Amino acid sequence: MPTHPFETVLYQKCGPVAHVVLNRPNVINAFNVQMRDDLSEVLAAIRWDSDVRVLLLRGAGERGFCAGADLTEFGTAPSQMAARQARWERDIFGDLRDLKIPTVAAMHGHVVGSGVELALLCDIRIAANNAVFSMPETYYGLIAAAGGTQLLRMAIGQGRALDMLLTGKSIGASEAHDIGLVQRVVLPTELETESEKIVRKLGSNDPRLLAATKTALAAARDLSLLDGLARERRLSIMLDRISEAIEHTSEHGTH
Amino acid sequence: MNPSSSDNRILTITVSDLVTFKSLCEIAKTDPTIRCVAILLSEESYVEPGMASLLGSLKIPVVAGLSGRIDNGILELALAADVRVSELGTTFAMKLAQNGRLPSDGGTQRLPRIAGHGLATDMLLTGRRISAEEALRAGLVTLLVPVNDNGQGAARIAEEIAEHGQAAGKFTKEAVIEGANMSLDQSLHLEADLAILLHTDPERAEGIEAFKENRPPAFWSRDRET
Repeated sequence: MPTHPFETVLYQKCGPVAHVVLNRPNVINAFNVQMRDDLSEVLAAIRWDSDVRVLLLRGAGERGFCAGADLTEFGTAPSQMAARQARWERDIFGDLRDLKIPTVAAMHGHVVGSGVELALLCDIRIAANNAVFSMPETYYGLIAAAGGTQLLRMAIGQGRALDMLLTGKSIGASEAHDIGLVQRVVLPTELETESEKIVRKLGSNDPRLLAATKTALAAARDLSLLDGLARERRLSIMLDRISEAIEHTSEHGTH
Repeated sequence: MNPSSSDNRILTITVSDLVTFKSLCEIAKTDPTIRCVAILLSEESYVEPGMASLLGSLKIPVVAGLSGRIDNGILELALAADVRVSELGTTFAMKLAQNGRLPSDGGTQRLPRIAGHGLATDMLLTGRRISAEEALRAGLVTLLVPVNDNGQGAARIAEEIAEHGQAAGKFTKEAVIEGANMSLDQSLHLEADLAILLHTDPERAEGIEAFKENRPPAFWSRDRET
């Protein structure tokens, strides 16, 4: 069970499961530059670690998953050009989205702004029934900038996404479930065991099959139906060939 | 048909003829003090093709307050708004195809994008009328208000939006709606570029200052000072 020390993130491997915990509980795990840098290293480690087959993202402390971007650090970029360069130099949001392994966000309490966006970048979202979701960016004259404007529209539809983003209204776990923002809702005391169950199941599945399923789902989002169907067929044939090759090798290995 | 309400950050539109509608949309486009449009629609609203396209071309957020029968062209107009609120008892139908005509002001395009492909297909092909509750479940509207609300629900939401950053609201709307026409990668770049362009916005600076000083941002009172 190797552990790595980071200032703002706990990273622990348990068998095939990478546990990533946002860890600034005093400020409800507000997302700051240090957390971006820590997550960048953690996600790079996960990406290149073939033992890791599933990621579970959580927030430390009682109060919530993530209170959003740490605005106390805002307004410090030397220039717009520097800000733009920094956005893409360490694109942890893209890194999280592009992982080949399944990713699960388990959320409780406050889930705000970037917190919602981090969760939307994961494949499966599970929430404790005390979770409250909101996107308050425009209240502060800001806009969602970690994919929120796109991923929220894809998850809950254009009308609901615009309502949440423009009014900043809060949504409880039950409504979040009704509108498709989260897939499962559990009691706060069950969040850990339920999310453990999900990642254990995912960790025991064939990682190639899970990666191919993620690729196919991305095609459903990005490609025309015709191109998506062709991609699905190619992925399916590729997986069959890999299985045949493995069977062939093991047969020859035993004789 | 009074274009100015008591709150001059919000332009309230009730539609009785094309000329007035066009002139109100022009005001919404050109008056920099206006932060949100509230449009009140019912079966009595005047509508003709092209009005939804005009409403949809506004850069600032638009809230629609709906009551009665929201059918055909009136539904198309409602779909060109960003946030939709309806009174209980409101119903929605797209019956143009039943009369041998194809919707021509965005009905076949905005309805599936907002209410989902399955429901939109059902409504467009069969003309089925849906209730306010079903519209809420589908995300066609996002809030139900009591009967005889007279647009108060829409006004409350418009006031909330008008309190927020103006450029932030416009950029959010642009990212969500224009982003839908792009690949995810392209749309994420649009969003990031808009976020960085927003660094030049004095309201963003005020919002961050307000957060640090633990007070509400004062966008609106600054308008009044100038």
